[in-house]
Amino acid sequence: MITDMSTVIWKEWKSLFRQPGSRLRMALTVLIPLGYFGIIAPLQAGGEFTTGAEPWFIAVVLPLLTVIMTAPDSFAGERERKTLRTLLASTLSDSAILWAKLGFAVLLGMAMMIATLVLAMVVVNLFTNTTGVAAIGVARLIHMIGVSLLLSAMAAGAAVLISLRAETVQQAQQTLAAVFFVIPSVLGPVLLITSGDGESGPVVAFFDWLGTTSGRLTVVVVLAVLAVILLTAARVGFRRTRLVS
Amino acid sequence: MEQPIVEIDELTKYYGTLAALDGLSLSVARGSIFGFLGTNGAGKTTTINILLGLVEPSGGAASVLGFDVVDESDEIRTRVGALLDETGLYEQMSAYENLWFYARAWRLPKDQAEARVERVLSDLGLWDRRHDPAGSWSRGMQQRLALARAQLHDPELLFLDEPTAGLDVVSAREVRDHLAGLVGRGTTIFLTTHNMTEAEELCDRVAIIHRGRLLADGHPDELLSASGYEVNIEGVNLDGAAEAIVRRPDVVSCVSEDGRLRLRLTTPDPSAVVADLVAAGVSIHEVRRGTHLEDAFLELVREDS
Ligand SMILES: Nc1ncnc2c1ncn2[C@@H]1O[C@H](COP(=O)(O)OP(=O)(O)OP(=O)(O)O)[C@@H](O)[C@H]1O
Ligand SMILES: [Mg+2]
Repeated sequence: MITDMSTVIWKEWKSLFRQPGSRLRMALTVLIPLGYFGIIAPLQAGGEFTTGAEPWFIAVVLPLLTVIMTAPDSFAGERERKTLRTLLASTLSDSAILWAKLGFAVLLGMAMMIATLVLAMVVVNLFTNTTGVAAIGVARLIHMIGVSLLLSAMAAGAAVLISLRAETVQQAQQTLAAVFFVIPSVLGPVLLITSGDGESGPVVAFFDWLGTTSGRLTVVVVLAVLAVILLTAARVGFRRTRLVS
Repeated sequence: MEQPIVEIDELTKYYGTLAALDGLSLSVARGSIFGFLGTNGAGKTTTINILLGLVEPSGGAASVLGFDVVDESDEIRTRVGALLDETGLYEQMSAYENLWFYARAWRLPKDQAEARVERVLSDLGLWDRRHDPAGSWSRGMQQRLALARAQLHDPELLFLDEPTAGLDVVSAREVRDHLAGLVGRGTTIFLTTHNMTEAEELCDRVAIIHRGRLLADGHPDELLSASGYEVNIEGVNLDGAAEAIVRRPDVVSCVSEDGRLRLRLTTPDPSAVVADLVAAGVSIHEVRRGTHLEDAFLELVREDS
């Protein structure tokens, strides 16, 4: 199983940067967030960066973006380019194929997040005025990495489910982007407005609660439950006899 | 008798109300090229998908190498190779990487994988261009690469879904010669094709399916005899010569048209009939066997429609 998975991961890695025409798109979607969150935002925030909201953007946005860009290509793309049936006719088990592809997407998301975070810390310490060495607290870092991992896993599971139904890679990417970015970014302000009462409303109170220890734990537990549900659904959907039509 | 390598028993497959397979039964013996013939939509690809465990049958049973296609399809996939109706190549990866991936997928150890990849690429004349992206190759080369991939793990049985479709005569010939070589070394090949000449040339046995049912199977010659052996005779003084042979027991029918005789015989050998014609004063210019697998195929399909 491990050998099979590493075989599939090798293949995913080989074909990652070689999709025709996608190199520019890929570079842009990687470089723009990397440049913004890794260089511009830390320059602006300076020493405050380590305690501000910026690291959370890195932990949430970058892995999601990476998974949304790569996972549909790995699932819907394999069908669109007519390589899936041959892959499934091989001796690889469907679970080895699924977990290798999912793992690879999550790994990429985490790598993007950690690379950006490291870059941001280097920028903060070298190019802004900090007293001593500025670093993110260990507890905060662990919390961020945990949330990042769970979000990546959720996005990867959702990518499988959506890829099973989507006609094309692009359609799958758009649907995923809608689920993970558009809907939350529309819903947030709408909630704020409809809840009405400015500084002390229930939405503001909710965000305050998220900052407390019980709030943080609850978020992790909720994300973990969602991730398990999505991954289980992905495993149920990703079976040879359901994939070939 | 030795156990058949593929055994299909009353197999059905429904897509909605459409019966893609409608009670198909057949068996394939080891060590031969088995030709699986049928019109578009007859159910050939569906059958291969089921035999590889990629599609679940709606009813009936089938086994490959003694393993059940529903419960033991992992065992089947480990032991067989397949070239489906799409090449399945990763176009952005090199030819070598494509094969390397599948060699590792079949769990060949690294040194053995290297040796096998080199061997099959060389056998199919692709070694020199192994570093090219597979997508940059011509259709014929891609098809040969996919064929190379199917036999990386030296399978006992190969499923080939129209391996020569879309190839020019030279490429198609190369593929056919390669297949003949494989069978010489003991591989069994389950082949679908629309090319009747190819089936006649390569196959020891053919099965003709139509609308998901078996119409006929046997050696290509046996299928020909089912519709009678057609013989065309050209010559001088043919008018009236039909009288001389029409009552012979081996003559099924005899039509005279455009100064030519078109006969249907019960035997493949027309010499006795020709002798009778000569005795009746006909001067013969040409005797040509007219029936090919294609005619037998067309007739069977037409009767069924
Ligand atoms: N996934 C599917 N959904 C619905 N109908 C299908 C599906 N797959 C095959 N069919 C139908 O089943 C029948 C048999 O198809 P199949 O692909 O097995 O034919 P074939 O003999 O391989 O034809 P061809 O020579 O064109 O490749 C056809 O009528 C086809 O439309
Ligand atoms: Mg077909």
